[in-house]
Amino acid sequence: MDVKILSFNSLMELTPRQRSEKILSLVKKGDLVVFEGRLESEEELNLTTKALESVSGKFTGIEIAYLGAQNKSLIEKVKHSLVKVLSGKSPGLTVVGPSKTIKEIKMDPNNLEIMLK
Amino acid sequence: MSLKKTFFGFFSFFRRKKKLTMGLYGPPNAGKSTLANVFIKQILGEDSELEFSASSLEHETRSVQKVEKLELKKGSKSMDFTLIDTPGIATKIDYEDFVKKGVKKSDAKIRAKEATQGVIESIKWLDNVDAVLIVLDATLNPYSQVNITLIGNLVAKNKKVIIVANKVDLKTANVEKIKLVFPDYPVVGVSAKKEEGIEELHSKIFEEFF
Repeated sequence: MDVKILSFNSLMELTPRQRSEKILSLVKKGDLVVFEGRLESEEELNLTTKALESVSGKFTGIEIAYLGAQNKSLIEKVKHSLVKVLSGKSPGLTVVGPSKTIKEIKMDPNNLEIMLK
Repeated sequence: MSLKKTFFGFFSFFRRKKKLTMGLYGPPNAGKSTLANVFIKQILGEDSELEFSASSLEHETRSVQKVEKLELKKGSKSMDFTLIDTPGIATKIDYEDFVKKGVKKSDAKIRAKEATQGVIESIKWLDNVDAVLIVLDATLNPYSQVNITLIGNLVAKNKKVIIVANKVDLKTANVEKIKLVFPDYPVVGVSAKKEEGIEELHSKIFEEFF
């Protein structure tokens, strides 16, 4: 499995639809995609829908995980918004991969563990 | 205004009524259909022939199911609601997982195809519900991207949410962990199988959705 690390800028210059298509096309090829920041929750759900629409014998869907503050306290939300405004970036890291190769992604707020089949 | 209207208007002030469409959402095998059956049985009575299929095998519910005109009462309040039971939200479906659990290969392929369509249908139905009970298996780690994405979408769509921590009758259930992971949402521990915690859930539904 190849690991494709995408820059935040290369994804953000795309429309949400193009972003999903780009990520999904790489994952369908069998790549593990890693990028800075995270997709909006609507985009994540849209990516899931698109992935499920593509399910066939060879492609069984995706595993997705985000490492970063997910359920933030009010102070963290303010800090997160400030970082986003000042740098134009969403902190954290997202990993998307093919579920045919990835058995499980174990998540906790500070750690991602990718287990391959 | 007629005397009749004034009369009934006066009493309807005290008998407050709410209508809503309430969805049961969550990952596969969390107990959504079992919980839906508890609601139906308690509201329509033990003799009700209406029952959703529930199983220990994942993706037993493969299409959105709807029961209309249910009524919950609490004191002077009553709630008319449509209950939506949905296939479990997942990001992957592999027929080989069903084969490993003893399903024939040909049946497993059909089941996987139906399950995939069911999840897509579930996601589309998010726009049609007013309020959502997110049913989680309290014995499993709640910190999963699917759960987080689902809640994020409900919040973005301004849907009201209660998290139902199901299977509290099992020793490994950990309701506190769910509360810790989702501190901004009300969490109620229940055992749909043993019909425990249901009264508390009814109260929370009135508190949050009414």
